Amino acid sequence: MVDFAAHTANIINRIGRPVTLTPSGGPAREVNAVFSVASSEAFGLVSGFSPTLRVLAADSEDIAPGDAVSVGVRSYVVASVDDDSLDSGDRVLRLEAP
Amino acid sequence: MTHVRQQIREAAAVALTGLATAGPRVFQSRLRPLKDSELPCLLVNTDEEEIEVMGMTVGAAQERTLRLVIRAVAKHCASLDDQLDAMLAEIEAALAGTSFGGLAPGVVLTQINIEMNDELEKPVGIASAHYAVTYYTATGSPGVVL
Repeated sequence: MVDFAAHTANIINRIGRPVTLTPSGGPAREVNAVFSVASSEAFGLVSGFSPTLRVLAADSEDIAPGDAVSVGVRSYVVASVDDDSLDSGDRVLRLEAP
Repeated sequence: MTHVRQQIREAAAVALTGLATAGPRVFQSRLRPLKDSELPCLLVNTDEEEIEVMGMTVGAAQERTLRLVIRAVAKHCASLDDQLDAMLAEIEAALAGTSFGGLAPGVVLTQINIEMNDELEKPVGIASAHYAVTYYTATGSPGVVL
């Protein structure tokens, strides 16, 4: 059986960067994650960007919407979490600018 | 000859320029995406128009009902709905009782729509105020009001 979670961990650790996660009520911690920012539009009318963070599920089990994320000098808030429904070992955090 | 539709759209833009929230950011028939520096703003569009001919003779009067749509656009994290409602209140007050300089004897707010989207780095909302604007022209003379 293929251990997808192990592959995912290898990929995230290889191409990811250090980010800081701060769960509600808990201390901040640094983990590796893949941060991406795609240009996007709302209603085909308002331009902006869609920041997301792909992080290991094991590193983010306690992260929920509203928690703080820092990537370099930029701060974000977790807007939603796409859980690991395929045993891929990761979660995608959709971020909002505070 | 400038079509009365255009005259009405331009008069609406003038009436809506300088309101408390959108300030000078009023755009007519805007097609290109809006940047953060252009928000919050108002978009002024003249959409479809129904025309009823009042008689069968050449030059007969036409009763035209134009749909004027004012869209308030905002991008905000907190209180987005409050900001959109405030912008609607400013729009309604600015257009209350107007005839757009005598162009249209009937200007009636008929519908309000609210849309929100959370796919960007901050939530985006659009509040649309739809007005039915009635004006009269002679057949073949769409640039002159009767």
